[in-house]
Amino acid sequence: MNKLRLPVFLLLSALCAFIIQSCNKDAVTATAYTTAAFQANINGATWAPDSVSMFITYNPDSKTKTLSCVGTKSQKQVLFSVALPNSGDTPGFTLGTYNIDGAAVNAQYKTQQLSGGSYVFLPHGTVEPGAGSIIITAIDSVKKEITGTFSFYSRTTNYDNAGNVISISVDNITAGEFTNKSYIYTNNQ
Amino acid sequence: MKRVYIIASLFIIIFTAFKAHAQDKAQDNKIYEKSYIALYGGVSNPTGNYGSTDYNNNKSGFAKKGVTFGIEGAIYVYKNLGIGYTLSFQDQGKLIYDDTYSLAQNYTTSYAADGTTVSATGRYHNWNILVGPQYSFVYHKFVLDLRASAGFIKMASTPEISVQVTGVPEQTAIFYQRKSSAFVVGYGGNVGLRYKLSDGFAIGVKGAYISSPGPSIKTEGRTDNLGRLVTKLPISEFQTTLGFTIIF
Repeated sequence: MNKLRLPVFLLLSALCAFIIQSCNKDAVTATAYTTAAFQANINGATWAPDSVSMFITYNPDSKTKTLSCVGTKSQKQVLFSVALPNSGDTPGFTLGTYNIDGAAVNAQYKTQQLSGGSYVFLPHGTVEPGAGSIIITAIDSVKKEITGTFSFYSRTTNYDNAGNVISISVDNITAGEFTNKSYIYTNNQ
Repeated sequence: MKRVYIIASLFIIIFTAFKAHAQDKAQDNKIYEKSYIALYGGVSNPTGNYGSTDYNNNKSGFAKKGVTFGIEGAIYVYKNLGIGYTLSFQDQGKLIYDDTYSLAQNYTTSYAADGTTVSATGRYHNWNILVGPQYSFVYHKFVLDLRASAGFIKMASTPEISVQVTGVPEQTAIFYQRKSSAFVVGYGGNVGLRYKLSDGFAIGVKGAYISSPGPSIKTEGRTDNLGRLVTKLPISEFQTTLGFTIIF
C-alpha cells in the first residue's frame, strides 16, 4: 500500500490538471454604443457626428423662429429644420412633434460625393412629406440647451440610361436623439 | 514594496531559526522533521493589478478568483531546515460580460467611436514552479512551515481580446490583444500549518503569495494607440489551500 502512495498522488494531480484545463473557454462578447449627446442610427449602424451645429434663428420680418441642425461625420451628414411662424424674439422654442411636410419642417440625408472634381455633400435621396418627424421634448432657454428626437427616411430612385426606374433604395435615419445639446440663438435683424 | 519586506522577513526568520538550532546542536536530542510531499488544492485570488478591472490602468489583468492545486513538499537537509518546492496549477478565470462591456464603453470614448464590440476568449492558466529555503517549527503534532521561494511561472494562456470600433475611418480593422504563453520569473513566500495524523500522513492549511513581472502582451492591428494598450501583464496571487501530506 505504501508503495502506491506516490503514484496515486501524481495520478490525482494529473486528473485535476485535466479537469481544470477543460474549463469553459467560450467567447464573451459585449457591444457598447456611444453616449454622445447627438446621435442617430443610419441604416442600422450607430452614428455620432463629431461636428454638430444647432441654431435657433429669429426673423423679425416674418416673425418666424427656425430651429436648424447639421451633424457631420464619416462622409455622412444629417440636417433638419423646423420653422415656427408667429413667434416672438425669445431664445426658447415650442415643445412638440413636428412632422416633415417639405415646407416648414424639413430633413435631409447627405453623403460626400465626388462632384466637379471635388468632394461635396450632396443629398442622398429625397425626404418626402410624411417621411418622419422631429420631436422637441425639452428646452432650457437660459442655458440654451435643447433635447429631442428625430427619425426619417430618404428615398432614392435609380434609373437606367433610358430613364427607366431600375430600383428604389431607402436610407433609414432612426433613433436620432439630441440631449441637452447647446444651441446658438440669433436674431436676423 | 510591502511584498518584498514580507518575503525578506521570511528569509530572515528561516535563517535565524537555523542559526539558533545550530547553537543548540550539542545538547540536541530532538527528532527532526522528515521530508514530505503534499497534494493540495484551494482558492487562488488575483491581487493588485492582476485582479484589477480598471480600463485606465494598462496593467489591469481582469483575472478572477479561481482554483489552484498542485504538489509541494520539502526535503530536509539540516535538522528542520529544508529545501521547499512547489509545482502548482492556477486557473484565474476569464473576462466576464461586465469586463467586455466596460472595455467596449471605454474604447468607444477613447476613439470617439460610434460603438465598439469587444470579444474575449480563453482563460488565465499558469503553472508555478518554485523552490526555496524552508524552516519548520514543531509543536507536538503540529508543524509550522515557513518558506521563501523563487522560480518560474509558466503562463499557459491568457485571454485573447478582439476590439472592433465603428465610425472611425482610421481604425476600420479589428485589432487584437493576443494571448500570451511564456516562462517568466516569479517569487513568493508561504506559511503552512500541518497536523500529523500518523508517522506517515498529515493534513495542513497553507497561505501563499506569488508575484511576477508577468509576460509581455502583443497587440496587433492597431493603426494608432488611442485608449488602453496592454504591453505587460504583472501577476500576483494569494492562495489559501488545504493539503494532504505523505511523510517519508
